[in-house]
Amino acid sequence: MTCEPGDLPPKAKQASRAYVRDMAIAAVVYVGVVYGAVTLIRHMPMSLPQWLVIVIALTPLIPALMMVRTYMTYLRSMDELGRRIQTEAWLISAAVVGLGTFTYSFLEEWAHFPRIDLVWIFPALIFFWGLASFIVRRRYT
Amino acid sequence: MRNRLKVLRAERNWSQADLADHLEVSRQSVNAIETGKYDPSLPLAFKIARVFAMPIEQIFSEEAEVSA
Repeated sequence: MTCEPGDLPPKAKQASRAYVRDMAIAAVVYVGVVYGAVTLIRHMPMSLPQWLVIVIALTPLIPALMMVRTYMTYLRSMDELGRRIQTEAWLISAAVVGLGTFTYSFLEEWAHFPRIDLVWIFPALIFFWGLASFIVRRRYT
Repeated sequence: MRNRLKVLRAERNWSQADLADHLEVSRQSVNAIETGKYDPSLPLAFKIARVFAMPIEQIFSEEAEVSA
């Protein structure tokens, strides 16, 4: 999530463009890595050794770390209000997802609610960060 | 905290975007400071004072001080 380009000083505009480009590259790498990993694990004729399955399962971490690095670079290019908005948005997202998953785990255990995979936690964090960024930004507009 | 940013900017015929360029911040930041929705950090307040070539206390004042 970026500011409106017209609202930004030249250096920040450059950083914003680099952010969009590097995130797009990381997303393409992510899709490729996940597709490759799924193909290897599910469609290999012989069963793979456990250590290799673990290595393959960890490969999506590489593009995910690329995304984190890209975001951190972008965050450091922001002015102080931008960084404050991002900090508040992450705090809200962490609170919503943290408390949400914590509460849901009791519902799973005691009320037999359907199981939710851990893989959804990161997308949920991103979703609520995006939503919170929009709401927090409006407070300063 | 209150400030005279809007008046000082108008005196120089600067838009919010012009001031944002001088301060190397977003236009949204200038708007948020002007409307009192955001108090700048000390380094940014000093930068604002430098841009307007004025002492910091002539631009910013405490809310209580003004209403007293």
